[in-house]
Amino acid sequence: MNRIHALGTGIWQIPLLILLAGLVVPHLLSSGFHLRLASIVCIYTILCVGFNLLYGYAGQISMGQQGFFALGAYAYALLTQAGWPFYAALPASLLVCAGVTLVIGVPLLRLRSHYLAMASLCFGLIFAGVASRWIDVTGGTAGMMVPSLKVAGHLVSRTELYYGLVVIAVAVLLLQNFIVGTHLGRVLYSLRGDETAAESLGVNVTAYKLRVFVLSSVLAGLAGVGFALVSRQVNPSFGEFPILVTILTVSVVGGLGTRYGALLGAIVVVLAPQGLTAFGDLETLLYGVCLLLFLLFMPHGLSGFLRALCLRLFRPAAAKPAPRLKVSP
Amino acid sequence: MNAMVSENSAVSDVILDIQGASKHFGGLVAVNDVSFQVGAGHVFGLIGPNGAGKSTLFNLVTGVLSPSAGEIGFDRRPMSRAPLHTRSALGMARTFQIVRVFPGLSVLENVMMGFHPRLVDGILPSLLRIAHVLRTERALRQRARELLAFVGLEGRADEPVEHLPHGQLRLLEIARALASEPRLLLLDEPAAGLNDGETRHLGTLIQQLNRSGLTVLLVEHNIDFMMGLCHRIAVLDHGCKIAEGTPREIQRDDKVIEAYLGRRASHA
Ligand SMILES: Nc1ncnc2c1ncn2[C@@H]1O[C@H](COP(=O)(O)OP(=O)(O)O)[C@@H](O)[C@H]1O
Ligand SMILES: [Mg+2]
Repeated sequence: MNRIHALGTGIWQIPLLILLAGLVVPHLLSSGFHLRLASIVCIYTILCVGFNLLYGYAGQISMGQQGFFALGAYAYALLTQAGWPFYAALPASLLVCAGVTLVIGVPLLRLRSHYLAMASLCFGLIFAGVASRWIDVTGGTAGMMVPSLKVAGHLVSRTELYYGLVVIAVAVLLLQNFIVGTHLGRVLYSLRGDETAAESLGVNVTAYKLRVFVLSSVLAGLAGVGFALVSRQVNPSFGEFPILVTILTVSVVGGLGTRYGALLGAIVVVLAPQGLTAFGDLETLLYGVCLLLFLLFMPHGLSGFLRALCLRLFRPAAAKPAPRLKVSP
Repeated sequence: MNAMVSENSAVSDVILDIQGASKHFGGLVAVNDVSFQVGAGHVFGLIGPNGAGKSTLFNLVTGVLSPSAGEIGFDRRPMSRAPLHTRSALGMARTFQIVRVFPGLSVLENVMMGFHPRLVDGILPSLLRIAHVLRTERALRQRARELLAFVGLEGRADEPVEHLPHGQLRLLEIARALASEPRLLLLDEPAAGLNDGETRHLGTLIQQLNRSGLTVLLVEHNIDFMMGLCHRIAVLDHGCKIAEGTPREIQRDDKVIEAYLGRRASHA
């Protein structure tokens, strides 16, 4: 189900539809709170596409994505405080994320994947610790204010910020489609399999692991900057476990190793708690039960489920396994 | 070019030059001071009983292992320090004694992995050449289908690779190796586990490839398979090269008969 060849369709058609839908959304919403939820869907999509490329496709586990999310946010907040304009502070924050990833990744990626998981986890913990204790710089547990975004003298409204996030999220989905729809996707897939075979075919396995690790952290940092702008503040909770849990939940619910799993998962994870508030005290319990049901009955997430449904509805023949062809030797 | 050929007119141009290669695993000497040369355009066979060191020598040539001593030259370049992933770009391609494919990809996509050394490498360089990458993608699919057709797997291109039986995985590995357009194809026991029909098909494929100019280094202990196929054969026993020559010379060699053929004959 989560095979690249099964998803080898167009690269830009579905993202275009998503862009149109995303641009219509604000006209259907009644409150600023709903606009904030829609913005967070975009942010989680950006964050989880990075995790999806790293883990869902390349099979490399990182438990420190929340650290890079927070690193991007803090770097942006500090640079803005130092008087940097948006168009300089944003790329600089992403470069900081890329640089830190290289420092962690270069010595580690020659080793097996679980070292990467441990090291990135440690980075996340260290970052959260520094953010809450180095009060002079980071503002401690209270965090720092992030001034409203100003571009070329124009004060960006929350709706405009949302539009910006939609465009970036769609661009990130396009990037992912380009990667998994071409040779890069096959190379990422080969990393999770046999490294000797991949190397013998000319793949520089260490370099590609590093590349996808850097890409996923930069996307996490980008999402972090977005979250800082939407929240108008940064604080240590950006880098703590609940964010990691959210990443994992979004990925599992949406479907790892699928093109639109991150978006679908983000929508569900942001909206579901809103629907469940009606159940009062039972909310957390119900949320947990629903997640468990997802794991049990939709191992490929919503993406896999929707795909199977489409195949069943529109191409009944394709859902059945292809007949085995006999090839004479 | 002509000058070079006339210089070596006695032997054909040497593409693979193994000089005193040794490999130790702790106290065990798996390959002991082995030298031989493979001429361009030849099918060169490496035979020997189980445990003779064939796979180890093969892995020294392909770069999976690095030699404890000696030097391996490919196309007149010393290779023993070249990282594994750089070899295919230089024109070497291999198959594995135990097939290694990428689960989760289709048969076609497994073949397409073989194109890697000829494609834009890296995420940023690919992004800078989006149009080119997207355009080549379609041509690559077509080329991969042709390679599958060549080995006789055209009907299975779009299936998950997990569906293929062992014999067809072998053919898939060969198609994947050919995708990089190698000048030297290295096959480690390609006939192992194949039935008679599949083995004959494999022999025909190797001959066809060789006729089109490809040099082949073949490891095998099915000696009958080798006799009709190879221009030259080297025999390994206990890590040492005990003989080298044409198939006829090898068949008549006393040491070979004792170490290998004799042993096999006594089993029969
Ligand atoms: N990685 C290894 N570590 C230790 N010993 C090895 C290793 N690989 C091979 N050997 C030993 O080296 C010898 C040669 O093995 P191999 O090259 O696989 O022989 P062949 O392919 O001719 O059957 C055997 O005795 C084998 O046990
Ligand atoms: Mg062997």
